[in-house]
Amino acid sequence: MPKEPIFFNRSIVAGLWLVLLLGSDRSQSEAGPITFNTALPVAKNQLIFREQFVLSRATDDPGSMGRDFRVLALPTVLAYGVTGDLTLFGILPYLEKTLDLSTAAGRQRRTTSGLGDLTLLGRYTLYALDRLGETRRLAPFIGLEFPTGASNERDAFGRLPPSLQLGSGSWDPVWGMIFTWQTFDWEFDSAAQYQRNTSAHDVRLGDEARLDLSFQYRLWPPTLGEGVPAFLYGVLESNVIWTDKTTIAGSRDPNSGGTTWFLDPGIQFVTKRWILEASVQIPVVQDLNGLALKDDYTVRAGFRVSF
Amino acid sequence: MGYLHRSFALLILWSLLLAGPSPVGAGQPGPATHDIMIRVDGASCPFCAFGLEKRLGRIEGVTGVRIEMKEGKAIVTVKKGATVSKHALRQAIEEAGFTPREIIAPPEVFSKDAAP
Repeated sequence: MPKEPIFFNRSIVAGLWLVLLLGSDRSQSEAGPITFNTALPVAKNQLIFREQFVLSRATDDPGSMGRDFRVLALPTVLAYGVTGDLTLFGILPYLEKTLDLSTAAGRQRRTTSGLGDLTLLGRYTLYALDRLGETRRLAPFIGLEFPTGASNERDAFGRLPPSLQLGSGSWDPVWGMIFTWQTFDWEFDSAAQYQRNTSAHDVRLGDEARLDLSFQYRLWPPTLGEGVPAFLYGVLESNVIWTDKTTIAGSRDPNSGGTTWFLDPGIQFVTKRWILEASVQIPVVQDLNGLALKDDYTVRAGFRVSF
Repeated sequence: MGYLHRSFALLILWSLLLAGPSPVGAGQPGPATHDIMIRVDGASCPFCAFGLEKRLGRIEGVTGVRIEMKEGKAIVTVKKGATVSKHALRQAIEEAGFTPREIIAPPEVFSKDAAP
């Protein structure tokens, strides 16, 4: 058997991945990316349950209020195979949002918690090319975000800003396309998505477009044995997200919207019935409008179980 | 935050307990059984194998399913004297989202298919 080139030696690659992950500060459910969906199939009548623990922090405030914004999210995802080609997804997050800021009256804390907006999606395999140990798939999806989260919450200081509300209050369609190419050794996923946000309570959040890429490389086992062995993947993802400005009472907020590029190193342990995964999402480029608050990082850890 | 950590840990434990063993036995061959070997294309990660196993295990007459991922094979165990439909085997693999290729077994194992 020919010797692997040293660059592809799995032990060295595994070590590099761990260094990258440990050295650094709107998903769905089958094996595949951590921060977005895959085109891999869910079998007819198969149910996949996915839970993530997501912690985001944003403290890079170009303004004078010293804003510190933290979001803890627990998105729950259920995926159900209607047929071998059609899969339905339901995504419902529990959220805790906290904003600390300085005002003329001193340092204030504004906080809210509860269930957010429910998103229902349908994904259909339009194209599949299957070979031994390899599959390539193309799958469009379409869905709707329902206004199930509270969107008009108030506290002692008045109405909470849109970023602190649990939901948008509006019915927002989302659509896109996913491409997946998987082999025994690696997987590549890419997705393009657009969400059209509509109005509620005189507020229309800016539309969002995103382009996501993911590469998962099998670090272990070095060679495949009998049966269905577990895999350990090193993961690197990229998310480019453009958001339009928010419109409040007919006026576009100059301090909202912009484009951010994130890189996310991660790790996944995949078995036949369950997956454990974790990643850190780091903003590489943030081109935001006006005094919009910039992200520091997002940490994710989660699992998926198949029934 | 502590309450959420505990809840998340409990959720992981609950899900892993519920996942449990596979619903279909591995189906070891023996004098009282036949093995049907089916070549399957497209199943290239562990998490994909479960759906395949589940769909094949639902076919009447099947007592066990074993997936050999590296070789692209699904080995289905049937009791001697029982028959299964080739159409049902192909359909089960398509319903799992993959592509069935050749099916190999003694001819007496297969029932007459209503459809090819």
